[in-house]
Amino acid sequence: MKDRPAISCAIRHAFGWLFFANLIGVVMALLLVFPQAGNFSGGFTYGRWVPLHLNWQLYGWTSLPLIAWLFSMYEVDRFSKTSAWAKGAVALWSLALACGGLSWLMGHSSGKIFLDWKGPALWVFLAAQVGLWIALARALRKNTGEWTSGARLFRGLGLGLLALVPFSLWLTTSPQTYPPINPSTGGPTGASLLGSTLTVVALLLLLPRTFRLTGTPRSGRWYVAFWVFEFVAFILLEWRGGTHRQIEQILGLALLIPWVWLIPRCWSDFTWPKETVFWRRSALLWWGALVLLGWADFLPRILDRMKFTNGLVAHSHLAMAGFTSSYVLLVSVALGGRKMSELLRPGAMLWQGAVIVYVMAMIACGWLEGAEYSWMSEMPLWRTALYVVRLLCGLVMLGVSWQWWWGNFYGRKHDEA
Amino acid sequence: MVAEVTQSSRRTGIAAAILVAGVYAYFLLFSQFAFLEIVQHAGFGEMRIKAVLGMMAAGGIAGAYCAQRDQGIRLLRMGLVGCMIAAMLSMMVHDLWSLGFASLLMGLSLGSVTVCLAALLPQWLPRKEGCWYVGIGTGLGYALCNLPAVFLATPQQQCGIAAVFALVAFGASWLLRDVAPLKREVSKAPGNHRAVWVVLVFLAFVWMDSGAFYVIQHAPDLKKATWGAEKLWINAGLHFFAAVLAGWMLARGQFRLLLCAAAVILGAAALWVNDVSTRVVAGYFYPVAVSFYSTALVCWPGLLSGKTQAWQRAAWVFAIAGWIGSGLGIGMVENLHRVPVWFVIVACGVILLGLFGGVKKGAWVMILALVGFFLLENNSTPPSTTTAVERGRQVYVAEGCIHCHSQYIRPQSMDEALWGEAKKPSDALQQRPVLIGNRRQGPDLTHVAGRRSATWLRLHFLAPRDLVPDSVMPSYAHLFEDGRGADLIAYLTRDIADDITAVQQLSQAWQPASVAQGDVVLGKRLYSQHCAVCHGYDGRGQGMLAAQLTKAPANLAEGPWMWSAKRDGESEAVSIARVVRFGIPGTDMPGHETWTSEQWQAVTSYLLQWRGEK
Repeated sequence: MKDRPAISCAIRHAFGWLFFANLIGVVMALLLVFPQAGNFSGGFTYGRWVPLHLNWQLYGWTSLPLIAWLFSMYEVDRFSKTSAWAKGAVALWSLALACGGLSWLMGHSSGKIFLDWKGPALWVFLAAQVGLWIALARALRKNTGEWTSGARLFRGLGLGLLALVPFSLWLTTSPQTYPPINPSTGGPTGASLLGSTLTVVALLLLLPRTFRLTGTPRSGRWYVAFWVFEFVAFILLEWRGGTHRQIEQILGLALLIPWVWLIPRCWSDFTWPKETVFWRRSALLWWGALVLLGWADFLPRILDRMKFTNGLVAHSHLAMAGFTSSYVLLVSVALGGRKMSELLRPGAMLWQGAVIVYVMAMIACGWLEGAEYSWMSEMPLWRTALYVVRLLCGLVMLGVSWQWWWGNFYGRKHDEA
Repeated sequence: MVAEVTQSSRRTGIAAAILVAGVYAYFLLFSQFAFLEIVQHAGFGEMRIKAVLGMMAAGGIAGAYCAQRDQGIRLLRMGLVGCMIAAMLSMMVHDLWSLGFASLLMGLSLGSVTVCLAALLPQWLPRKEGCWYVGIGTGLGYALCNLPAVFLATPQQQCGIAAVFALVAFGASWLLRDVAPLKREVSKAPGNHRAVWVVLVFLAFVWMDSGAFYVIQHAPDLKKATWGAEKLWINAGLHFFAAVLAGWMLARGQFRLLLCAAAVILGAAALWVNDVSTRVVAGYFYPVAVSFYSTALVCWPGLLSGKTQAWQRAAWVFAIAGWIGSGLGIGMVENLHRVPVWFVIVACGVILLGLFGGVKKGAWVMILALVGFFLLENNSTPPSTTTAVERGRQVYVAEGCIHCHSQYIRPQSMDEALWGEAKKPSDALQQRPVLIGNRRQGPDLTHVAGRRSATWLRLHFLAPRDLVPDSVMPSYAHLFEDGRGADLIAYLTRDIADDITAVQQLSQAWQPASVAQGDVVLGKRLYSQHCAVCHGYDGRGQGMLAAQLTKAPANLAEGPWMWSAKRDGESEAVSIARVVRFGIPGTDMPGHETWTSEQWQAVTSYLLQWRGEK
């Protein structure tokens, strides 16, 4: 990736944030296994560390490879000036995450999970998003002569949509806004889950096309039509509201299930580079598990038992450490080629193994505590045993993320280091 | 090159480590503690105290200057003898002139000893091994001073102990052989950074360290929080392990990384020591950072810079960074009474600039922007709120309580049997921000004021596991060092009347036909774990926390049993079980809502046994 400095920069930063987010995760896991350790941390208690872990995973680890993907689509590295702008945007993005971390640690939070941005940290993050948009806009203007009219239109529309992101973030971080809830649980409705997952489906469908992979795509229009149909269903169901005990909400969420088969089918129409095979299969397996288990988790008796328990933690990790991580690693390999694939090989199986054990341990924990709340408070030995398993898995993932970041980009003479 | 290096041996390394430990321990115990105490309590005026201490600094600079011309091990030994004499003299004399002389002698001796030691190290040991042994020696020196028997001794006793340290170092010096003065070319050893910058880096470290040290020393509450008697062993351990780690890092050529880490940790400690909520962390950070840079300070002039430059570099770094830096640090906080934030930022900036002068401009922009953000965030005033409940809500958000507690009872679910009747969803959505939560490491807090009194909540925040064994909740004692703890309780108990009604209804609605005979052995165990802390192990209401409750806990062994007496149509067992399970809303008696039927039946049977005995 020597010839693509901005893309390389974004991916390097992403791996850095993966390491730091995992490090905080291990600190949190330690605090649950050894709660007495909290007595020595003064004001930096468990609750203050959580936003750093969650937000650095979301806005650092999973967002930056997608930004690298955007750089690839807008071909920012074609010109040195646009490349420099893009690198500046990545630096600003990382600065915003560092500022956010300081801010949350100091107790400045909006109180909304994953949307904790508040005060000066929010403004720095908004500035980073505007900076990113400007970098892409400059690339669009510079490259416009190189693209077909269709490609220009597609990227122009994308830029228009991206312009809404800072405003949306500002709106959603406000304590005055809150999405509709499932009155039976206080959590999201089936429709909300459908809507947010459809965004992921769109990203999955776009991936092979934006990488200009060769192949003979079948049924492309049908995919789009099905997606649009589901989006309309989401709007209607969200408007009606309801609980997880209502059949329309259950069926609404079940609309995602066909994608477990459709996404692999869509991807199989393209000729993927050989080096992507491991992360492609991982992403698809995790995707299937995410959709099927997610839907099962929403069913009445199961959600009633798993809500507010470690079962939810298991689902979040399945989504983030399992599916999303495999997906962004696939993006990274698709962008970085064979070299990137080789860099990620050490620890790849360890990572996946640790995630599987982690998820299973937390599902077991959630299932047990969901049946009888006293399990959490009155069975400390079993609870601690499962938390120790989680801590060990966290340590494995931390070690792998260190190798992927420092080991590859700084620890040895790498062409980008 | 190999031939130039003195044949290393374990004996040489151990002797060098003992020498380093002795010199450091002497310096810390005598120069930084005992002598200052003696002078300050001798009844001199402020100016005379400054004059006496100024003589020490002048002597130190002069001693360093004298030692810069490769004087060999003889000067080191003479200096150690001077150190011993100064310490013993200080034990016996009280007048200005004698203490002035002791001060000058100590400065001269210590100034020459430190330069000789740092400069001679590369002639005794190769770089890698030398760094290791310096790390061990530095850690040992700091650890010895933190031993309670040493740290808590009187100043006179400390003078005697310091003299012994100097004597031990003197003995160790005889295990190290003398070497001829060197006249060789400049070494290419790793870490051969520009000397001026490195001297400035160490100046910033010593300046910041001395300032923070002086602040802590002269504020009793700070001193207790960071160096309280119960923390001395931990501090000793931290110093030792941090110094050994520093030696290991230096041996691996990680000079810059080590000092960078030391700057960040020391900077954080210097800032956090001013805040009650972070003082404990600062107390652990400080020894780590100090051990890091102290080890580097001894290694840099000789082991990391080459033999021929060692004498001059040692002289400059100890004269400027050591003596002038500590004077500046103490002088600064004497005037300002604190380590200002801007100073910490400038000092850390100087350190980073000195170490990473070659980094790209972009990284500098990032660092400066982050520092600017920190200042902005740190100095931003929160919006003024009028009520304790509103402030308490902010504390709830700031502390991230939402990550372990929900405020949403799910209708027609197990929640209602545990926490009370569900509220309307719109009630939860009216809060700003909405604090429903999504994960329960602890209980739901919707009707918490009905289940737990303000007094109980306060005690639980202070020491959660006193009241709830095996709880994963951390202590929030720091919130009660200012008004945040009280505000948080005000927020949690904001709907107290409604909450009490809700829990009373839940309690009254619970109508078991009878209470089966429970396992008394289990009951006794549960009672010991959960109830004895207030009611006492013998049930007479004299538990560990009894005196801190609003009202003395009931005497369960002898009565009167006002709350759990036999009532119309209800057996005594049911009456007791109801109190065990739901507590007594509006009092300090909490419920045990999460217990299984086996558990509350066991405790009920155990309590009934007492009444039977009665």
